[in-house]
Amino acid sequence: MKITVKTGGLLYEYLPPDRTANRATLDIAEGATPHQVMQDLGFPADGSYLVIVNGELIAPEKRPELRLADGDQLSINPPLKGG
Amino acid sequence: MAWQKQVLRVDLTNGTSHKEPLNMEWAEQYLGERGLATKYLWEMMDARTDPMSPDNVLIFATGPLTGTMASTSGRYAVVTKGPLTGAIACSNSGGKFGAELKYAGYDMLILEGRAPEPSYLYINDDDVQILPAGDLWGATVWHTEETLKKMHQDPQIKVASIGIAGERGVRYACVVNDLHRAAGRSGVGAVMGSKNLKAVAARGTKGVRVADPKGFMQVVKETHKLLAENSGVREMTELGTNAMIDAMQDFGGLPTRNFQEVQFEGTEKINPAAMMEKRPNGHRNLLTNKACFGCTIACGRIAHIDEDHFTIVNRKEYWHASGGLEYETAFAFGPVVGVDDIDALTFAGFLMNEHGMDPISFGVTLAAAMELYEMGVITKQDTDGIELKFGNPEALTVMAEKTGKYEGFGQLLGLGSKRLCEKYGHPELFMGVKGQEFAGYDSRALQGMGLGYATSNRGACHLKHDTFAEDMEDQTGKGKALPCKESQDATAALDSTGICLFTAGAWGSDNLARQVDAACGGGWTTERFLEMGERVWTLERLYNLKAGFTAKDDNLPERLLKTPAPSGTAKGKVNELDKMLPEYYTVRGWNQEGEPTEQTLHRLGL
Amino acid sequence: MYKSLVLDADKCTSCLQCEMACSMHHEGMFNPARSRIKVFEFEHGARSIPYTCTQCEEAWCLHACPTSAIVINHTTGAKEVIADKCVGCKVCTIACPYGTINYQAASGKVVKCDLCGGDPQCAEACPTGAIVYQ
Ligand code: SF4
Repeated sequence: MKITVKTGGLLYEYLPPDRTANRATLDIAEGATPHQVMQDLGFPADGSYLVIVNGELIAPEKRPELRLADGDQLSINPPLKGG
Repeated sequence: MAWQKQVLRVDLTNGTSHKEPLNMEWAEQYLGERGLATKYLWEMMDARTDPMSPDNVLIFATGPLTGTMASTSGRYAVVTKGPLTGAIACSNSGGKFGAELKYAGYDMLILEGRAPEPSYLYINDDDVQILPAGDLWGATVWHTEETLKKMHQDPQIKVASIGIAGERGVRYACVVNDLHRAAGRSGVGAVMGSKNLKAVAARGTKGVRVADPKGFMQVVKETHKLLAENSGVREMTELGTNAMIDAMQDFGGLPTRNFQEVQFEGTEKINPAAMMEKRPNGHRNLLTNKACFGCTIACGRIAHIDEDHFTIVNRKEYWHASGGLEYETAFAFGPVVGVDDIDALTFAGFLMNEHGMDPISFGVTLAAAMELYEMGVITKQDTDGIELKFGNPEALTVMAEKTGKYEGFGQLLGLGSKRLCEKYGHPELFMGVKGQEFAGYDSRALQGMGLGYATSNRGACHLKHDTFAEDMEDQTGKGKALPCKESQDATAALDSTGICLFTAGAWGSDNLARQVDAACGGGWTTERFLEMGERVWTLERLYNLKAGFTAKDDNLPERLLKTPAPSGTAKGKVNELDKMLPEYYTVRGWNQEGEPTEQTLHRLGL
Repeated sequence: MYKSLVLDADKCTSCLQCEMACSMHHEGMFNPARSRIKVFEFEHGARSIPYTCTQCEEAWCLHACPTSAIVINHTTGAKEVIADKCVGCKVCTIACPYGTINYQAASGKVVKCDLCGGDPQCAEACPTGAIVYQ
């Protein structure tokens, strides 16, 4: 199944080479979780991220549980500070 | 050591100045910069004083780490009673001025009274002169800085000055140094203007010594490395603070059209990618990044505007580079006023620096005026014929200039959102706290941010606490009070060192305390450092209580408390301030009237 | 070939860490006014350019000095000022075409970059690689 991933900041560096700017379409296994997707993309495990699926905030403890569905939009942003 | 142990006091009324030893007993309690200046202000003036009267005291304060090799050591703070809020104002700036003032031999510059005629202060080490401003009165910040360097034949002079906005009392006028760094908030520039003081020009050649040079250099080496290896810092270096805008858009915490919405459809036209994009005609908004004094992060952006853009097509004087968009300027000229023309935003930013105004307060005030316009409360007749609609880039840039020059409708915009909305009978449209406008975070999506806004001592502010991590994990009022309090104290401590807040993520309080310890001759444990921060915070609170503020003023506008967020991750939510605030008072050791208890005061030695 | 300080203006952010490192090494305090390396800023900071002695082969300063106070360090190639011999006449400052040897009022002598004896502190301190010793 396919999902789209959008990243903030410099996290596009973890997207596959066929990305367009900070977006990519990924082919993932049925029932994969945001946690798995991020792991497969190589996001450092010790980082903290802002993870949103279809406009809904996914708290860290939910990330290994939530099963993604076909067409889902996953947005990952780096830890935020200041401004 | 680290401190210069000397204060420069200037009596503008009588045209005299003298040097006095720094009160080291206070320095041991309040360290420097924000904290120490607060203590001096507290001791020197009655908090009930009218901020625009000669009796208000204006303090420029450096910290013990200012001018050292500690990264980001260029900071200084301007502390006074703020005319936007009537509360204590503490505005912090980078650039190079702060270090120069310290190199001239002063930890602090204290300005009292009002000069009989427009003047500027010239400091060249021990040589201190109050000189007539002459033609500089009425000039822009940029012109003033250039002229002073020429007049004194020294390009190394660093200048902090005000524009016409500050001279004429625009309530959110700021003090700008080094062309585009500003002690931005709460109207500290208007206080300077009320004192008839156009500029402070400083040149310092005395240097700064630290107590333990070897130990200090070792800690500095390690702390530089921590910054260099931190991913958040890398984001700041490569993308600038505007990296935040994409996240806030996705999150639904990006205040749009005077906080009526929380996501902005034009975000991708004004984000870092848009700044870096090469256009078909070869123009690129962003030129390079730039550091403040001593800073190994270099979050600053230097940008330029397309010469064909409507804002500057016939104005060659703007065909050059200057400070570019940061997150807060992008927010204040973008979503909150609905504009997505990146060149117009950049130009508005130039104008803020050139005329010396706080972009956040200006943008949010303009947003309220736009809402009033769309409601039909004000019309073209009020706005000098400008279509003051959300999304109109011309309304943004024309009004920015009018306010900076104190002309036409700009004079009303210069009142700030609270006074403007009250004037037109719609106080509910004011988006801020204690008279100061919100920054670019919607507190329906970021609950802890709402608590921080409501309790910040200088009025709504995003820089005096840090609950981002908690807010990103949970969107209720639960568990926000303690991290809000603790980060407020940690930030107050950091702001008293001479270091930039943007190191906080990589360093934490312990690495700051280590640097202070090596520079100041020992005794600065993390615990003592943080307790100092709490003391500073509490003293600011005492100042505000004395100035007449009460728990009622720790509040948010109805729009954030009653109108649910229309979209984003917090769709349907309002801010839960009523749940957080009582808990906050408790963890602070304050009673439910928001007053520190005897016990708390005693514990902090207040 | 001696190593030299390679300065890359495109990488400079004007943070002045180099000036502070230099003054700490030579003067025992942070004091850019006494740094041997200087950063110049142009156009509101759009360009920042670090600048110091090139240790030029001609060594005009060395030849101009009437007291032979300037000598070549044969390990590093640096032209160094022997403070004891310098009488502060400033002839070298006029001779140098680059303006990188300067009179210091505090000591009454001239100062210039000496490559810190082969471990230049400015290069060590530069966070962006704008100053590299190679
Ligand atoms: S992080 Fe940015 S604001 Fe802070 S000192 Fe560095 S350049 Fe200045």
